[in-house]
Amino acid sequence: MIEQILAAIDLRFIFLVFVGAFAGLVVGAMPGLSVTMATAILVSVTFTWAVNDAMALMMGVYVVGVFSGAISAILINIPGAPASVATTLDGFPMTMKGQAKKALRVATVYSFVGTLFGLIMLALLAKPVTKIALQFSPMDYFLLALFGLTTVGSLTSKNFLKGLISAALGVIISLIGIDPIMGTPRFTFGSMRLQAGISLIAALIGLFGFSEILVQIGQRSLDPISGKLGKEKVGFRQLLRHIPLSLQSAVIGTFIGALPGTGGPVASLIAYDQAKKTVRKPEVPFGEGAVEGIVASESANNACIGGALIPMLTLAVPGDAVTAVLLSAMYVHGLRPGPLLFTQTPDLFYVILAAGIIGSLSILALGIGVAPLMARMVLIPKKILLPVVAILCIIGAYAINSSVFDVLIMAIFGLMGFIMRRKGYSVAPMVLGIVLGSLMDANFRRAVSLASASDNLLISMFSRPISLILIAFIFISLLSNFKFVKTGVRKLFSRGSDKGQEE
Amino acid sequence: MKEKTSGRVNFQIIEGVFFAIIAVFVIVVSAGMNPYGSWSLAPGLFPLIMGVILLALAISLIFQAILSKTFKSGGFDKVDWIRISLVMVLTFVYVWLVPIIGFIAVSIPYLALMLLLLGENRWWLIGIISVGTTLGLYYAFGVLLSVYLP
Repeated sequence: MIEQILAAIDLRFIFLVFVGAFAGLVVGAMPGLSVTMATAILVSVTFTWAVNDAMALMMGVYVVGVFSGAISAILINIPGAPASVATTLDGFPMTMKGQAKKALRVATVYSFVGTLFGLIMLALLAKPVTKIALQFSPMDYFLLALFGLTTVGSLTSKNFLKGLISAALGVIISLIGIDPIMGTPRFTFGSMRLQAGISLIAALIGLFGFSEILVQIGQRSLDPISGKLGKEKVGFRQLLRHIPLSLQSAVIGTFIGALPGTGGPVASLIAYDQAKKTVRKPEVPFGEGAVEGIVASESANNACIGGALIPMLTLAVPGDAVTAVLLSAMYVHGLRPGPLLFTQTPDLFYVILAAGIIGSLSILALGIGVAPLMARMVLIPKKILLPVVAILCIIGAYAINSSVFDVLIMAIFGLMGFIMRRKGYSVAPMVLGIVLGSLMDANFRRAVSLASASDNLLISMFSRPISLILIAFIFISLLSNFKFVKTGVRKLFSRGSDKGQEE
Repeated sequence: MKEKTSGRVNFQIIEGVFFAIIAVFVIVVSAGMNPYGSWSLAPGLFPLIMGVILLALAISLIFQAILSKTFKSGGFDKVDWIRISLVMVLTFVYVWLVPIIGFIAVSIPYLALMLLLLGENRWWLIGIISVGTTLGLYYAFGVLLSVYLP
């Protein structure tokens, strides 16, 4: 396999991946500009090119674009993409503490580890993972999304109930627009513009970016400088300490990436939640600038790349929006992804792997070389930086659909986010709700519809082994947010360890 | 009254009532979304369930507020509402004007006013930042990335 991967690589190939990687760095770090949009533009540019060249460029954009969403998440609290939401939770607090460079370095290294892990899994486990993913029924997808929602406990440090309300509101907001199954308008109140639904990116920019601007502006006296870069060096050993957590998160990322329609946001939030539960003594508490939070989020969302490519290459089923565009690019080039890919054009599999590996190396090069230069923006005085970020939020929201209505949505969500934060409601669960809402709605109704033909609705819906496992996960995740369960488990473990010591 | 702390009403009860009103509204609207008679594929099924869940959560929030002895919002209190209101008004005016007079003509004064509002008083710097940023973004989005800008 290594020989076949090496055979795909030459200087031109490396150059094209790197050009794509640089474009991905810019696009991914810019809120409102998505990696999906960039790859879609590239399909139209590269359709006359040789397949290998086109794939090299697009994989470069894809791999580095996913990573660079973390840059704006860390520096200005605006996730470049929904997959970087979990990175803001600890990344931005680190910037506020003057550890922006450290946060970027951690994000770089673990994005690289996550990407590489996902690609290795793609190379080794493409077929078995696809088999498992194919067994997921609509009910399982619903339960998986519900499991994602239960992670709100990790996103709300103070009041779990407020986190759940924020998530429930997010799910309800996601239901605005045309119903995906029956085509009926819901909660649109006659507005044509609302029929397309609430743009996730506009809501994301508003809830994170614009609300942050309002929070800063609302302070009676503005700090003169936005943040400090920090001179704290992160040693190699210190970085390697988090490898086990990174691998745990990458496993979650790869598997969730392989499930069509879920992708980075769900993976990073579940990995973050798991990190919060498994890391006993983080350097600082989660949500206040814990390095472990960035490790989990970035490893998982980057591992999703390899995961999302698995069903795309083996079944022609895209794992996320970018792989859907890559799939269309393959068809444009006359290729046939799916089971026939390995018999008709086996080389393409290795071309994609090679481009992914070079792309992951580009993460290291650009993350260490260019990202610290971008980090200098935190040295700009707030009274200058905030208006520039505000206009960036506006144009970012506008660029999604070239719609002024999306800017209005962004501003409304900005105000809503500001009020929520003022009242102690975390905005991250609302984003999670908006991301997962439509997935939950469509799959729940499909599951109910399928089960309604059977004699016992409940048994039909919940008796499958995957469903039972997911239900168990949901209960564990929910219960783990209650204090009495936490103290009970702690006591149980401490008794166990005391007995062990006595023996 | 336990909920009163430092002369303030426990806002969590008001928040709970507010969310309960939203939940009831969602329930009422989605209960009417069943055009085909069967609930299994009805567009209103999932919103109805979500409305009930939100109502339960809102009631729990009210109970939590009544049972809690101390008032903690978990958020922050000191806010310069005048500045916030001005920023929001400016942004809504921007959204209203941009399709009429165009991106460049609205963005330059928007940025200049925002800079003034935040205390920047060097006119030359305000000019450079508002014009430079607007033209830079116009070039990046409108020219390089082919995003249509009004």
